[in-house]
Amino acid sequence: MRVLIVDDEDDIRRIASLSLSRVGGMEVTDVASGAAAFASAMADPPDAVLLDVMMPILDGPGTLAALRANPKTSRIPIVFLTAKAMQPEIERLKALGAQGVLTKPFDPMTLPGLLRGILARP
Amino acid sequence: MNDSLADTLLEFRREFLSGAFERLSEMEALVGRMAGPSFESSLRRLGHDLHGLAGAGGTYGFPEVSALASAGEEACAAALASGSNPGERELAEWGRLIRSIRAALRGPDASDTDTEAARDEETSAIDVLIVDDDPEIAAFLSTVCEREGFQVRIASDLAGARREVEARVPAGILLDIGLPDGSGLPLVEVVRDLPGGDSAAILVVSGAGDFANRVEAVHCGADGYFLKPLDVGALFRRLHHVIARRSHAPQRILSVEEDAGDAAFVREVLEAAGYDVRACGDASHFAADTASFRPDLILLETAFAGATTGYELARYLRQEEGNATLPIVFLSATGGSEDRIAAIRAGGDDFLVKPVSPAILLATVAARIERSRFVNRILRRDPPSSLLTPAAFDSRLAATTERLRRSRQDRAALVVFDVDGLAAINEVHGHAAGDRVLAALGSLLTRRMRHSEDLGRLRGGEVAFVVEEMDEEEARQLVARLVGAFAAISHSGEEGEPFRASVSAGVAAFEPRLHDAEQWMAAAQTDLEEAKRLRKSPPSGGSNARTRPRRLPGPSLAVSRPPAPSVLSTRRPPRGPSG
Repeated sequence: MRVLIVDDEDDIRRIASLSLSRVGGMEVTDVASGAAAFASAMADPPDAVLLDVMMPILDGPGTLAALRANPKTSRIPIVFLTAKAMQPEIERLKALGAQGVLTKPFDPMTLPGLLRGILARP
Repeated sequence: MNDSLADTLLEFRREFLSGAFERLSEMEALVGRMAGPSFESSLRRLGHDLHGLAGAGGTYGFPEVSALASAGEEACAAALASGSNPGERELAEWGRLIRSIRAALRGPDASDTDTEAARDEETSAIDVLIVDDDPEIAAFLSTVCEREGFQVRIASDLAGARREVEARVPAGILLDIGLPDGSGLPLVEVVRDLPGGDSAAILVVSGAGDFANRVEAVHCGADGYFLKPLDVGALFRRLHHVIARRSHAPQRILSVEEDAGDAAFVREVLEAAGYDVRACGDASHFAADTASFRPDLILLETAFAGATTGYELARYLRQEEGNATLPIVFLSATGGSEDRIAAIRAGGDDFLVKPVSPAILLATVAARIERSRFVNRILRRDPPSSLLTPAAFDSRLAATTERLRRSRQDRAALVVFDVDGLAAINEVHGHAAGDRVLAALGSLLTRRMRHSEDLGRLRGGEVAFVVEEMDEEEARQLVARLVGAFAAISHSGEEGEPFRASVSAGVAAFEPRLHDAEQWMAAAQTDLEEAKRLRKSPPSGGSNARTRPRRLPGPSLAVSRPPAPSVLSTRRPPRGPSG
């Protein structure tokens, strides 16, 4: 499974990459901005996108909208990564069209399994 | 987790730490600038930095940092919304917050083992691992799990499932047997062998439906067996039940006390506080009681009739490495320094002088158990599981019998195991070895027979349990596997000499028209006697009136075909005189 990780925080990007690749056995690409995410997904569409919500310039929802707008990337499942774990926020993010929501801080040991769990659902 | 991954994580952690300290210094500078005109941009930068720490802190093993930073981030948002310069007090608050975060990065929070424990405590969501290669079933189960409030992980093959459980043992596992890279059953044993694996609730799901799989699943130590098409309600009821059972077991205290009055006092005080108390009134039963009851703490009188002292009992107990963290609290009528020194030397954790006040007894017991649990968590050890006491087993058997009759269930069997030639073992290898053999039987059955909630010791020292959803044939197959597994265990005698032991088993299928609990037990005991008789004088060969299959003892494997019916064969007798 090929996953694109999008987060402006170096620390999160590094450990999420480590987690998904070493623990989850996934192929990982990581970028630091919404714009870079769009470019990467267009050039080499991944099987899923793990997308931070709060990013400067183009935030998570904005990036999702961009990906959905383009036929080449519109079907790629997107999972948000957010520090706000409250139910209303989670519902809001799902309503935007995300497949699911994962929260920060996360456990690097269970992140891949949880991601698979979300992606398995219809 | 393999070593290089652990190393890499540690390295990341170190880098995160040094980066975090730098950021904290910058944040302090920002707070300094908030008195001035450009406070808004400083507030925004500060909020952004705190946001980063909130997300990363817990991920890198500093949950307290996440909590503090998150609160700080909210405070920044509130301050920005108010539109005015932060005052002296607010600036002081932020300074304090930053110092707290720095302390959390430096302090006791900053260690791998503590964070595991902290993470275990703080996770309110229970995580369930679904192992199924059918994407539709996986999707369905995942959705139901989410609805039931579980966090869900998914693996679609045995290799993936291994990776998941080795990364972190889930609270529950829904395990499909038919996986593309092999049977899912071996995973049960893999999980049970992992630290913390004993408490995972494992439900096996099978599309195959042949009885061999059910027997194997039970034998492997699964907590439930379900056939496809799934009764989802039943599946999740069982999952909830097993998970709840594991987390709410009352703490067990073994009170070793000859004086009936003192024993009654201790029992009253502790039971009122919710502990599960077992009284051992005879020092010679100490080892067997400890092995079968598996207490979380032992209250040990120092003086006994005869030559044995409580200190000797304690020293005996501490010989086993597994008992190193078991708390021992001495109770003594005399409190002189000689006694206290003896207690310390014997490995006691505390020393209370009688008459002891209830408050002190409770406080001591609670503190010692808590400390022992903390240490066990660090050492990644499982809490002891236990067999029912004879009295508890009797009442459970009666209740089970009633339930079976009412629900007109006839697929259930009562099994009684008894170690062969225990007297001879005690004589040849020593009583300590005999006790260890008994403990090993209890241990084996506790691990394997999770499917049974009625598993306990009988007054004669036998171990009994009820299996449901199995007819007699299946029960005998299961029993044959357990007998084989036990025979493969190597015990050591008082001079370290290795030896093996065997068990005989009696099986009685439940007959609703005939059985109340007593009759059922009598039938099982009769079958046991017959088994023992046949073991001592096996028939000379050829066909026999008994048609049940017997196998030579051998190692049990999760994946194997059902044993073929075979003629009775002799078992290796234990060393020493026949008996």
